[in-house]
Amino acid sequence: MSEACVSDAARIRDPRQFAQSIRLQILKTAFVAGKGHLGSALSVCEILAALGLVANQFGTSEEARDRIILSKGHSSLALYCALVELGVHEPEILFEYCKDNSLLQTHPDEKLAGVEFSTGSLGQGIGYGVGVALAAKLLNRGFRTFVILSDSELNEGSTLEAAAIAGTQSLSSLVVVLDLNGQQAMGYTKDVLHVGNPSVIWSELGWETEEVAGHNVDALISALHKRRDRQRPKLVIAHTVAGKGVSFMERKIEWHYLPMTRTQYEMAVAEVSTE
Amino acid sequence: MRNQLIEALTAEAEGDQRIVLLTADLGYGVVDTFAKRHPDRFINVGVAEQAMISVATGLAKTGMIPYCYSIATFASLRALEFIRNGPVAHGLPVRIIGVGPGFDYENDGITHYAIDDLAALRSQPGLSIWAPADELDFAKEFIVAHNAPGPVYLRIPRRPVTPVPGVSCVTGGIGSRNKVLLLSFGDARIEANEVRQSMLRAGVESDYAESFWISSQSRQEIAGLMSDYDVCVTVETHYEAGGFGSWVLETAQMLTSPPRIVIHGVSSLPVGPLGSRSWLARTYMTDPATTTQRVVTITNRPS
Repeated sequence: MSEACVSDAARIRDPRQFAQSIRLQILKTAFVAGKGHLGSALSVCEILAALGLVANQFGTSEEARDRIILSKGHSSLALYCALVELGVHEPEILFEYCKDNSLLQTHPDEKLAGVEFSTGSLGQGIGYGVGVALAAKLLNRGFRTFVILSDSELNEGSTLEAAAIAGTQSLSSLVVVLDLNGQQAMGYTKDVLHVGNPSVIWSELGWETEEVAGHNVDALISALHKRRDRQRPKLVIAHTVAGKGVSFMERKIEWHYLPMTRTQYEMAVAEVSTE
Repeated sequence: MRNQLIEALTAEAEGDQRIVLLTADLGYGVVDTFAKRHPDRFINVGVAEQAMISVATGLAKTGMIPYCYSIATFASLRALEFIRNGPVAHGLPVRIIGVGPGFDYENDGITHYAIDDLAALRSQPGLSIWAPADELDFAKEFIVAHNAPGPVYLRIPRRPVTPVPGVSCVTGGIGSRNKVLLLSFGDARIEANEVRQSMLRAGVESDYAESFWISSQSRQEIAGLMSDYDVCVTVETHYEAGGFGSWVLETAQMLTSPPRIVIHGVSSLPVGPLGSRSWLARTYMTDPATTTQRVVTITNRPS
């Protein structure tokens, strides 16, 4: 697919339809593979749709492209589906998901077009984003850097290290979208570890913060565009639901791990299709 | 040594706008030359070694050459997973400066002793380790380290360890005089000389060589050098497990008639009573007499 096609594909989409298409692709791909961190993948569909529409030249290798870094690498399936919906890859590539000799695994590999960094260990992708934004500042380049962070990454000290560096260095081209779905591998975040209020903490670290409904693409797009302060990095706190769109998966810890039966798949597709 | 490194880096950065110096809040009075000359490209990230490496990964992916400065244990061990998943996995030219090999931070205790950094880092594919011992070694090869395509760990002594007077090195390809090769790594010159003296007292003469690299290229050189000998004694300021000696042992497997390898290094956990660098080496490294006895046992064995 050409660079021009990628941009066109992004422009013509209806934001909500874009997110729904990503969600349906996630379900189909996960069902065929019998794998996929479904809960967290379904949680970021609107975030990826919004970024697909806001970020310049997403998925290209253009020097001037905005960088999108999936720090929560376990949502890679959602990223692959977004890249397909954007026209970066043909839909057939999703059949390679979790197959042998495939770049499409349960965490992203930078060798796949559209993936900036290989991630998977929590609390590392945000540091990569800080470095990229710092390079943009040093090189006087105009591109922006977007990092998608999970709330479980707030457990990692390295996340706060990177956030503090970004605030201290006034990396205004950096935007972190926090996918605040309230869940992590072993339970609900409120029960696992008290990490405080990210809006308050990150403001103290030198960030502009804004809270949005994380499944409202228009609200996300607005938050990604809007800057009150052009000297500070921005944290967009997206309030989301793990497993969003599939009633029996929503807010269920086990859907971080489970594959779908055929009946569950058909029920899930029916629910998402009628949204 | 630290000052020489920063001066070289400062000079190199004049013509190379890609160079950035990050420090995890260390290098007081050392990094100033760079910081004053290139203030935009000097960043103190705070006591945050993990983020220092991930930020450096992002910088390198975007075309910069970041140098990350800290005490060797913190730069290597604290940040190990970040090094593995960042510059190593992505094949990026991040330079990790680890100051203070072995017992260099003598009175500061085990938290500051870099005696297992080689074991951790030499397992990483594509990462080169450079351990110059003095100014001459540094000047000779700084540019090699700077221009290396992948990540490099620079193991830099606080103070230079100069060659022992009267001890010259063999470089291979000249035909060996003796059956035993004594091979020192990086800053281990003093300890290597103690082993050499001990072996001499036992009537074992050895050829002497030094290595400052653990890399794919130096592996070939070491393999060629030791192929002339029956026994190769390695000396390093590192645990005997997993460091330079282990690397040499693995390298020997490339040879059809490999020499026997005897590893001399730190052999016990340095906790409890501490002291100067030389006291620590005497106390926590293998006794040179023990290493000598191993060599004698091997060389006296009928072939």
